[in-house]
Amino acid sequence: MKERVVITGIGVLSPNAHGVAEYSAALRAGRSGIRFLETLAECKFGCQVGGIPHDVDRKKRDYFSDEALYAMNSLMIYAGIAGIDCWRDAGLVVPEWSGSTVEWDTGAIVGTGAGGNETLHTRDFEPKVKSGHLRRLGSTIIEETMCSSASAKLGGLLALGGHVTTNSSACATGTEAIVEAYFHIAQGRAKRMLAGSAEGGTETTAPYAWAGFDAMRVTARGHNDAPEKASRPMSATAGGLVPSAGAGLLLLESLTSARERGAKIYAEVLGGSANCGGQRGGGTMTSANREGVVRCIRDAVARAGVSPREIDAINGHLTATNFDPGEIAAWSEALDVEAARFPPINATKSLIGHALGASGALECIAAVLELHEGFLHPSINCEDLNPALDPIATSVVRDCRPFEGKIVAKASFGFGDVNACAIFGKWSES
Amino acid sequence: MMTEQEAFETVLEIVRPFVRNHEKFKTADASTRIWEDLQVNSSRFIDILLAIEETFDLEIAFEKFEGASTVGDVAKLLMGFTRDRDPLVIQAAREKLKHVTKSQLAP
Repeated sequence: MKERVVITGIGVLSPNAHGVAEYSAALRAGRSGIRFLETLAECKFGCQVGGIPHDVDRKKRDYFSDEALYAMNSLMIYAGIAGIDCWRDAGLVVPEWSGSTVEWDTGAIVGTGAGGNETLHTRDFEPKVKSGHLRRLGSTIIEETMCSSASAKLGGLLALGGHVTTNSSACATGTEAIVEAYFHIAQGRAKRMLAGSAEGGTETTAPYAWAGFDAMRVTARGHNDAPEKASRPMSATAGGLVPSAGAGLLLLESLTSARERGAKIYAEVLGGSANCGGQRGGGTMTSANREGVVRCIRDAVARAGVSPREIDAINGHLTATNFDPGEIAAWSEALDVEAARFPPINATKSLIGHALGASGALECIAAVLELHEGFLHPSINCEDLNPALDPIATSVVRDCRPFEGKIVAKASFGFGDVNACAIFGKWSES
Repeated sequence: MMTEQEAFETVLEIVRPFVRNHEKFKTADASTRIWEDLQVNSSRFIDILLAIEETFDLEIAFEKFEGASTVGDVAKLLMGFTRDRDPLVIQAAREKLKHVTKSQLAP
């Protein structure tokens, strides 16, 4: 029997907010978390703005001991804060190290795009290796740079005993993690899964994390003096993505388990899909095969057991690159809707930038809060809408509006021509 | 040359950032086991060795530490390593260590 899967906890650390209440308020207000970063200017970046969670150096001491922080880079700290917040938000207690209870029925899928490779820069990895001073690397390099560093840390912090792993599919990572966790629970393989993703990067390490994107010239270069205007999905003057960092985690739980413990329910995960366009039909390592995108959305909708026309709103991938109009066309085709009936659509990236591996999770959380609290957040910086989107102009959410819809679709697309789509439903017993 | 008490206090200061059982740390003596009692992750062995090297400007063969398991074991090794050092240099290193915050010790 297929289990119904509900969301019973949320942890969010984004460039514009920390915690559910702050994030919800920031979304409603259309508050940008993008700012000018001196370190990027010093390194002569074309794009000198980005999004980094605020005040983490102070906050981290409220969450972690010095012993734990000794071996935690920013990826692990962001994921750790969001994971602990999510756990507590779900009404669960963070265990003591000295305890022996293991949560055998709870797993975690905590994805990341770049992993913990910032540690290689902050610990002078190359000079130490090249000069033969291997011992001076200390004992923490592997636990911080292994791809599973964040999921491994959370597995220990929360004493998880189910399937604990990481996934990585570039900018589709976060949504993919949630889709995979959904299947774990729907198929009865776990009662609860901590699911989402994180991307590291501090003011100090952002240049290393983001230099490659700057080199590719896919970042926004024209708004260094107006950071909040830089991330412009769906705009005629969209000039590229604005990189950012952070973490978003959701606790997915079987409805049976949630009911047994009287947990609050934010929303239901109705279905999901992940696929690859095979880097054919226009798809490449860095761009999407439209047929793959369309199939991914259609499969997710079909698995959710709803009709494409029942989708009440879309949280787009929408990176503020020239793929935005193509994405809208793919949604239209997948949902088989003409422009006049195109669902309301917004881009969380307009507020928090492109959090890379963390983007899908942070944006899924936005979609879940919109369903739960009944609003659609504004997509800022598209007052000069891309003319290609004129036919759906009234569907682009530019001011915060009330929302009584029941189903929201969220998709993310990543390098490698990979796609992931999750379908969320407003919680109701029926 | 450090006294036994000085060496003991120095080792405690060096292992402090890696301790998970703070209750045991408060009552630690020479027989306190670093890994089992203080719940120091055994892989931090290398970081403790590095901290000693950095504090006293030494190079210590990895093998010398094999078999050391208690605070007293490491204190005895430390006394040996610093036997020929100028007492003023040792005192300065110990003072410096006391002022190193845990976060500064962290890499």
